[in-house]
Amino acid sequence: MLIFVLLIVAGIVVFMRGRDRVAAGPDGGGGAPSLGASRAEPTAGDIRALKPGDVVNYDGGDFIVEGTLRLEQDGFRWAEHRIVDGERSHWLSVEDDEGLEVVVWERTRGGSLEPGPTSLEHQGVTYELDERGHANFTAEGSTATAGGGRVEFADYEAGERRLSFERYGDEAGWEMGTGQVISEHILDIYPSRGT
Amino acid sequence: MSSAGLSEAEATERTLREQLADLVRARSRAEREARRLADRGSLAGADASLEEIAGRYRAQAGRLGEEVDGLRTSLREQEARVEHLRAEASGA
Repeated sequence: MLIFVLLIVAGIVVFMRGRDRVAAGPDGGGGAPSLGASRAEPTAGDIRALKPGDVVNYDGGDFIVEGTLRLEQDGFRWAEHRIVDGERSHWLSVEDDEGLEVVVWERTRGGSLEPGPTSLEHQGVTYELDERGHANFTAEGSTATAGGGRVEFADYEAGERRLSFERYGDEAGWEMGTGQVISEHILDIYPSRGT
Repeated sequence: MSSAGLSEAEATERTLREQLADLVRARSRAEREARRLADRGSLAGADASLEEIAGRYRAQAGRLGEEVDGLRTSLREQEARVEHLRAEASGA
C-alpha cells in the first residue's frame, strides 16, 4: 500500500515539473524576457528584438523595418526603427523602462519650435518636458544618420502624446517629431529569417 | 496532445511569419520597381517598352499581394491551433 501511495506522489511531482517546464519555455529556463504580462509567448515576435528586414503589420499596412537606431544613455537602452510601407513611413520607438512603451512617430524637419522651456505648445497641445540629455547611438540599415555617434535629445509629453527633439551632431539642426503611445498588442511582427 | 506537438505547431507559426516577411519584402521590391520604371517611361522620348515592363512588375506585385493575403489567413489559423494546443498543455 505504501509503495502504491509513493508511486502516486512521484507521478504527481513529475507531472507538475513537466507543466512548469512547458510554462517556462522549450529551454526550461525561461529564456528571454516575455513581451509583457499578457503576451508571454514568443512566436508572435518580440517588439524588443525588432531589426532591419523585419515586417511590422500596423494600421492596415505591412511596414518594412528599413533602419534601426540603437541608443544608450548611462546603461539605459532603447531603439528607434524607421518603418516604411510604400509611400507611408513612420518611426517606431521601443523603450523598456518600468514597462514597455511603444510610440509611433511622425518626424518633422525644420519646425520653428526648439526645446528649452519646461512646457511647449504644438498644434493645440501643451507638452511638459520629460527629459533632456545626450545618448550614444549606432545605426543599422537606412536611417539617414551617420553610422554612430552622439545625439542630443529633449522629450516632452502630454498624456499619451509625445513631442521629441533630436540633434545628431553639434552642427545639425533639431529634428522634431510628434508621437502617440500605442499598445504593442496592435502590432503583428513578421521577423526576417535568421533570428 | 504532446509538448512535441505544441513545439511543432509553434515552429510552423514562426516559419509562416518568416515567409510573410519574405513575401512582403518581395512585393515591396516589385512595387518600387514598377513605380521607378513607370516614372522613367513617362519621360519624353522614353523607350515604350518601359511601361510594359513596369506593368509586369505591377502584375507580379499583385500576385505577391494575393500570396501575402493567403499566407496571412494561414497564419491566423495556425495561431488558433497553437493557442488551442497551449490551452491543452496547460490543462485548461
